Amino acid sequence: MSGPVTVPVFVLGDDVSTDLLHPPDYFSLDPARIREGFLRGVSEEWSRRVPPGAVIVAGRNLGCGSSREVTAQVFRERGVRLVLARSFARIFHRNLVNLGIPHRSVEGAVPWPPGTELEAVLDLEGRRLFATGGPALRFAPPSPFADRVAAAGGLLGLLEPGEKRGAPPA
Amino acid sequence: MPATLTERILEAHIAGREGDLLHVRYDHLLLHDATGALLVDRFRALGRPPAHPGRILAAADHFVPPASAERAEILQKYLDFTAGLPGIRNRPFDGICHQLLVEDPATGPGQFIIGADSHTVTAGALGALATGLGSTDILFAMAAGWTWMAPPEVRRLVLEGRRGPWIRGKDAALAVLRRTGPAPAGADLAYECVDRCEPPLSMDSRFSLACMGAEMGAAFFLMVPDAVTRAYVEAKGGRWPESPLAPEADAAYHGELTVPLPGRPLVAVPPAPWHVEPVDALAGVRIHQAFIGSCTGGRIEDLADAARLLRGRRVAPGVRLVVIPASRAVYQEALEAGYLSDIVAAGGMVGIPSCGPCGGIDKGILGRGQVMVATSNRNFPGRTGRGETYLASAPVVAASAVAGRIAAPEEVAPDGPRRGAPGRRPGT
Repeated sequence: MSGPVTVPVFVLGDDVSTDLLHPPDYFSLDPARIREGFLRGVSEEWSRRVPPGAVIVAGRNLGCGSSREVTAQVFRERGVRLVLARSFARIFHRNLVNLGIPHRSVEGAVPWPPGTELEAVLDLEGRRLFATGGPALRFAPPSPFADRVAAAGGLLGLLEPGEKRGAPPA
Repeated sequence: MPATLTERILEAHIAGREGDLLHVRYDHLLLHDATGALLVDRFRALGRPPAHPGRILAAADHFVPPASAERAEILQKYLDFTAGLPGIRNRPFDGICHQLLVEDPATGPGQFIIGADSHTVTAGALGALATGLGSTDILFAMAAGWTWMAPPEVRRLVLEGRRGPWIRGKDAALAVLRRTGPAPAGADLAYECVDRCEPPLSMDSRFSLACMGAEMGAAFFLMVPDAVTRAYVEAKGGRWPESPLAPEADAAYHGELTVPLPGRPLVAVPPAPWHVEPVDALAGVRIHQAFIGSCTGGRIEDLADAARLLRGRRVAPGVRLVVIPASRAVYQEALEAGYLSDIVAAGGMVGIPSCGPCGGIDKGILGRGQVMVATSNRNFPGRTGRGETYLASAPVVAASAVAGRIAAPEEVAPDGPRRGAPGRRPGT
């Protein structure tokens, strides 16, 4: 496990739907086209500018709406390091788990208002994200199942031969 | 501990346990072209056949017919894939996947159903546990024969009250959303809904209500089966199961919610389905488009209501009325009953069974500054183009098309709806 790192952070609000995270126009099988749609409904500027390695922070009910999996896939395509939210919408959350995209639930409040862009220190082991001298955001550990799926490279990894627990259960 | 109906159905489908998670067998697995296309290459790379081909129902409803060359290619990729899966129920171009699922005689109470679309929860109106999943989830389930889930927290929901002549399932859904808001954080939620309305909701209204369980953030929206359910299942040639279809006495719920039916039709105001107001509070809102269709509002009850309000009237100048039946069977029935003729004579445009503008797909996407009132399920910004969408029942949408602004059905048809059940399908 690497130590604390400085990361760019982008903060979203509550109830950010899949249509805002990745508008339907960008639904595609082409990864380049999928990448273009990232956060397009939230901010065209952020859509262009969020760099690989960024941390996305959100409020409640992140990813409400469609089951379109490109909406989660694009976080991987754009190299997002970690997704943090007060809560995740159900299908979007499953999509993050199944694709092995790192994400955690925020414990307590998000200390920055929606629209904030900042540099912060990500301390995965200490489960916190903080600006130097500023407030800290704390987050929960991953669930054991999400961890196991991530270690297998995604849900389909549980189907691989030799992955005993992926066999149909008795 | 006495079990809820949700728990009883779930228990009958458990294939295994892993810590706090369940491995659950499914009776039906639903596919459509858009999300189905996302799994094709990975499925082929797995190199194994579906675990239960006979349980797969494959629709093509999103990019049908395609509105761009890219979507034509996505659709074709999916069609080639499903054509190569022997033993599945392949139903391309027959309508919206959720409607095909509930029309299928094999779908019924007590089942566990998964689908590659968030609105799969629609089939919960039949007394089934039905839930939407992403493409990787569906791909895994196709290959493995089961899916994973946490046991949901089951909340009891009682709908009650006298149902006014123009009150529909959409109004019931919006009444629940007005009360609950979007989604609780944390555990998966299941609503177990009892219909105590007088008269009870029709099956078409129940499908509309259960469909919007997705907007309530629910994993499942189960309606406890009753005489209305049984009449529908038997009329479509389905089998009424012998297994128990009721919660045990004194079943323990995570809370109970009683929601009275609203006295007046309700409308969801942008930007979210849970911003709900009575139709009368919005009567001045000018519209550019009215849309009757989607898995929430394109059924025969909706088309019958629309025809009743449009017969002998005209859509307001400058307003587009887009009507899209939810399936080929609904289309055919509406043709034979004369509903489509009434709609077209009034200036409405009738499309072929498909998702249409819902989901920003085609046939009625909004430009900047445009306003739509629609029977569809979501009004999040960006879902249907660049405009604003209000959500309402088919009677409100049809009345609004005539008025050119959001309007209550009574403004257009003060004598109320015609007596007697329209159409010949059961429970409508």
